[in-house]
Amino acid sequence: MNRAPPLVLALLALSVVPVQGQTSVSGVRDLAFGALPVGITTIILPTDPIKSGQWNMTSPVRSRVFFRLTLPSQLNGPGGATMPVDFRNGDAFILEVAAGAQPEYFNPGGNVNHRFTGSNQAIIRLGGRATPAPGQRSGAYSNTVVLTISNIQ
Amino acid sequence: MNRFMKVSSVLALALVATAATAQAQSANINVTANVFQALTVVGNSNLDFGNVFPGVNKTIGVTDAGAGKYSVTVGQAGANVNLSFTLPADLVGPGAALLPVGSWTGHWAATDVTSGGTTFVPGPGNEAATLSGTGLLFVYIGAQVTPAAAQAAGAYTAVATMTVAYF
Repeated sequence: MNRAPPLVLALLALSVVPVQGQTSVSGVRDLAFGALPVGITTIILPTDPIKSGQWNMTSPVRSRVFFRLTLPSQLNGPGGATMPVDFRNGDAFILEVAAGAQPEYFNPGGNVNHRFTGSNQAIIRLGGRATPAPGQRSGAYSNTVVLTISNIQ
Repeated sequence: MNRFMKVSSVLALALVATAATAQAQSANINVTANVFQALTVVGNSNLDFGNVFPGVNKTIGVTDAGAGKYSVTVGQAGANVNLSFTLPADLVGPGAALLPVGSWTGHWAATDVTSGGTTFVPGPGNEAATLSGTGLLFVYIGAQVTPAAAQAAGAYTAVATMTVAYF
């Protein structure tokens, strides 16, 4: 009669610890281009401490989080006016909140995965560029960026 | 099937079910921008020293009739702007004669007045100002010319440029 040792079964049970409930993300700051001169492209770097967009993410050390950003192609303004916005490779990074940690730049239009190694906390920053047309209608423009975690391992 | 096998099967099913329940999480931020009304800046009046005599300094203040005047005629209501100036060191006259000019003074206000607003020293550095509730701004400048005792007679001119930018 084959019998697996009870200890093996216990180890199997412990190896799959659900981390989904321990991973969270929150939006903490808008990507704010501020006052834009017409006809000129304004660039916000992800390193901008005031204007860049930011999320905070928490996940257990050694977990790997897969996420993506849903980006707008335009901002919506008064009277149906629109203004193009552009996000390029390197306009975003993830940085663990740990001494000596370095930002990992990524393409904000792609799928991203990050393994938490030095900390259970990280910030995700987003920059971009906006170009009001020479005859751009004056007023406030806005849109939304969604960060979605698609998988956690 | 013995008891041990039954327990093993149930546990395996539970582990599989747990691994499949990771759900997506999401969080939003906004992207915002404010497009301001394009600025229109006008040079309204020259800084005019009038008649100047050799060896006699002459000052035109911002409240004097000969003060130079600029105005922002179109701009975003209540917006903050920086004023900066490119100013000559000399007026140029006959035969390339130079008449030194300096000691610049300035005054800006949201209405067309020469006192009661903000005084400043015009120069290449930024002077922060605020447009009126209708997007207007009025700037007056003055200065002093210092003709030499042997200053060549004739007409002297130069250009003083004001740049206005939102910030």
